[in-house]
Amino acid sequence: MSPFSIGLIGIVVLLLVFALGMPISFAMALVGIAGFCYLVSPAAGFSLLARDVFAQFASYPLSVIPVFVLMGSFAFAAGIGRKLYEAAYTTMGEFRGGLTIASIAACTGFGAVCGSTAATCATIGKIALPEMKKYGYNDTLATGTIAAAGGLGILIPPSTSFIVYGILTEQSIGRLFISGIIPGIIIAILFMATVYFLCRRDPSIGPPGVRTTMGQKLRAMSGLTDTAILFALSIGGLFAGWFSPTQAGAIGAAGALIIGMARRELTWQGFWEASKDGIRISCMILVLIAGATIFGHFMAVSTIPFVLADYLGALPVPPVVVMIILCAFWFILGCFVDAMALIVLFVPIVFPVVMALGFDPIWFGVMITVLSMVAVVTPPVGVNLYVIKGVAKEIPLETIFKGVLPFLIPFLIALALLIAFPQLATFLPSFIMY
Amino acid sequence: MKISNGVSGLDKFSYSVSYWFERAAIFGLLGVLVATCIDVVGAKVFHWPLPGGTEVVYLLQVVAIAGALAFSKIDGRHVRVEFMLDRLPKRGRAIINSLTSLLSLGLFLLLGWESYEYSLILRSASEVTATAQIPLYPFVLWITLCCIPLCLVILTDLVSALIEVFKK
Repeated sequence: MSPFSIGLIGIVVLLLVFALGMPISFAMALVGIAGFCYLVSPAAGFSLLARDVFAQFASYPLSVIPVFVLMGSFAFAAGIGRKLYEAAYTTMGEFRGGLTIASIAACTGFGAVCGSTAATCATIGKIALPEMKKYGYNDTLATGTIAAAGGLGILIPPSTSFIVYGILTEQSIGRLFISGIIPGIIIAILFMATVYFLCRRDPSIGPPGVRTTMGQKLRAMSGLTDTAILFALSIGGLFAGWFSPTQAGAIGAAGALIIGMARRELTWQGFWEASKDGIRISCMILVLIAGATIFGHFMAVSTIPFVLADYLGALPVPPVVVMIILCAFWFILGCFVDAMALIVLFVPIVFPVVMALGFDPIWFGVMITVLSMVAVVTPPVGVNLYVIKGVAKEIPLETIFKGVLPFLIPFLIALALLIAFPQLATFLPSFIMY
Repeated sequence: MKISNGVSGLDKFSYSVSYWFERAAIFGLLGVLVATCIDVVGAKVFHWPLPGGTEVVYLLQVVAIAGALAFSKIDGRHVRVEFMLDRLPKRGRAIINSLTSLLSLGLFLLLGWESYEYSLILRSASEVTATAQIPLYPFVLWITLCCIPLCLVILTDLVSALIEVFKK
């Protein structure tokens, strides 16, 4: 059998092992080793396992992941999410659907200090859902909004999705980070518009909150200070070229710790819990990358990525059609496979195709991240849906599923805008030279 | 009854061993943070970057990530596709779980053994980091050690699943 056929069998077996419920990272390592042993030699395959795992765990570029994850965990423990929500709530809460619009604004703001969708969703969900319940907001609207807006955590820098994509494709993490800002703001505005239209159609689903004076609004804006300081210090330092990505993350994590201590928000217990959370998330991502690296070596010897690139590159259709097919494929797979797992598994396979078709690698990183945002809210595997269920245990999962459906329209509009106007993603990175 | 007592004992033992490995992992992670901050502040403010700072960071990362392997498994952090499994009856689920646990156990026993062999190769070749000349083999050996609690956790899952399969 040809290496290509073995590679195809490997992909089918991998999907089967996924379906059996084996952790995705373990499954990729297992199938990768088995395939490599078959195509090269058992001795080479077995030694590849230890060497690849050590190489990934001891990779300096990958150290950007734990530090940015830790920054998000410390920002949560330091109460930065709560202050953001309070600021947004005071300024927008009095309008129809104002609390949900405030939640979207708070998710956008928290995304600027945290690179994870689940953490953004949990942080804002814990604060916003009880408030919305108090003011009689419809559960479907409330939960759906936060599940969808929580996804902004990976589009607004810092972003674990951009970091992993950048490492896999050898793109500048700084340029990827800055490329997410304009699409992130556009999606946040589209979400707000969706809420506005839903509440206009049925005003009972999002009644206005308490009226506040201009003085209260201005005072509440001081709640944005901590986020602004952290963003300027960490991401600003990265954009300015003062720090490498790992240094920017470490400075951001230390900054979140200092802010938490200075504001007397961070307890010893909170610090320890945040550290535990940070190490477990980092471990999950790095093991996923190690598994994908092993599987990637198997794919490379099977020649699949190159054959696929040649085949799709030679198709008699415009590249944009191939891209739309790729997006549809990603959307469907995103319903069944975790967003991060999808990135580490398929980016190494499709990236050569995308380059052969002449697309911009930074733009493709934004597309993948927006598709990952969709993947985290689409049932049955959308992680944000389960995070919201964990926060609001009394609300049925079906209500949350129903709640995110209207937000798929803004996602589709954003993807269409990005395909029609790639400059939305590539304009800001053009100012960064590294 | 005796089997379930044994499983419970194994469960408690693997939990406590994993807990201590995770503590080491947290110190490793905080070490990454401290070393990077010392390096960047030293370089920018005092023009004195931490000697071998990059190497210290990536080696502490090995301590952190490998140390957290077992507890992340206990905590269910490793992402899985569960929705198809959830549709199966209890016994069917247990059969599949025992199969995936067996495969995972095989994988991590192999990783532990291969890491041990790799550490011997690095030791005999006196492989060290480029700047700070830190030997690499203890960190590869650490991965072998970290596979032990992880294998215990997976073994507990395997035995529990098998008990479920053969329950009358």
